[in-house]
Amino acid sequence: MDETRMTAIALIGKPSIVPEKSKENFSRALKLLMGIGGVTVHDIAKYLKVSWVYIDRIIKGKVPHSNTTLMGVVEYFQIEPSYFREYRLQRLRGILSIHPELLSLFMRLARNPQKTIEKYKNLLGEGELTGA
Amino acid sequence: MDISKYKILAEDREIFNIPKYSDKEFRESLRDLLNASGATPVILCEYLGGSLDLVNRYIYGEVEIPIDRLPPIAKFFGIESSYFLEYRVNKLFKKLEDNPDLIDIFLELAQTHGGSIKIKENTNNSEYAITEIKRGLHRIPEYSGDVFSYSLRVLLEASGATLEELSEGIGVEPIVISRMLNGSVGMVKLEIIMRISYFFNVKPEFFSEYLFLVLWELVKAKPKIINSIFDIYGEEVGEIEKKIRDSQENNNQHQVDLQPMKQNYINVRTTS
Repeated sequence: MDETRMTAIALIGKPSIVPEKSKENFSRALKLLMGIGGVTVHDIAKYLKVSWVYIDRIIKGKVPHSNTTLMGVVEYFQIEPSYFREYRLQRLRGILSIHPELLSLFMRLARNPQKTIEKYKNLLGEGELTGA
Repeated sequence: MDISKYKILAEDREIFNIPKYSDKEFRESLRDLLNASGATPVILCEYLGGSLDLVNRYIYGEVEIPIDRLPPIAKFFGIESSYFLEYRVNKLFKKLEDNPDLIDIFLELAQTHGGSIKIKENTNNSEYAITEIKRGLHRIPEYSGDVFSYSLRVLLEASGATLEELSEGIGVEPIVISRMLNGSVGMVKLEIIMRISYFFNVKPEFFSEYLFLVLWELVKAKPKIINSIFDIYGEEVGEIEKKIRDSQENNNQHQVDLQPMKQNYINVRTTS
């Protein structure tokens, strides 16, 4: 394991620096991880065996990321995939495809997000509501 | 192109079991619509202006339908776009993007029940039925243990039903329900409790008043049973008496005459 990656993993592993779950989209969340870890586009591209232009375009939000890229980034930084909002949405999509009966409940709860968040904030971990 | 003959009419919905909102995957929903309308993939393809191959691939689920293709398909069948599960999921996800906290809440809610969602079969499958997940969400116990007005309020809130919807569902005037919620109707009839229980798909025992009414019927049928109750809870009865007396002394608004109650008790004791 190269030194840059080791340092990045050590830094990102500290909960005080990086929140457990990102609320940002993949591009911004990845950019934040790279910034904290001092990792360059080239470092990621080399590890994932893709061109740096591709990673650069993902960060700039010009192209959508693939699942393989997301899981590769997760592996690189040794974080939980649920850190990424997109991964959590994907899980939710999977749950809804098996249990569509939940959809009407969720849609009703989403009608007034602030009220729902206030009501169920105990379900979120501490600091989640103030995390980045 | 005249698409009016392919519109899904009310009777088509009934015969072919087409609900307002489909819980099926797009390919299955589309097949249902084609079946009910009598349209063929070729006709639909002509209307949409794409290749037949692509439409067939949608039908067989080989490619995912882009969300922007759903409204024209819905229009073809004369239904709302929200009929399609994918359209509704997309609508929800747009909201979630703006409110990422909701993603985590929903994921937690979905996993509340032992890692996988297990929703009990309901006898009443209306959207206001209190499912296991709603029970978990709103922390609704098996037995309310509270007064009727509060129990009803809890169920209304958890179910998302409005006062008018409940009124329509149980066949009771909204003003009466409003009074039930305010606790100004006295003892609610057993039949009404049963109807409310069915509407929310909860056991009637959820309401303490139901238990009381059942107990009352039992006491009426077998008056001697009251002796056993007094024997078991004699101490508590004494405490309640004391509390009533104290509150009577402190507050003249509560005019409770204990004498008839005591007399009744003595009568029952002596006749048994």
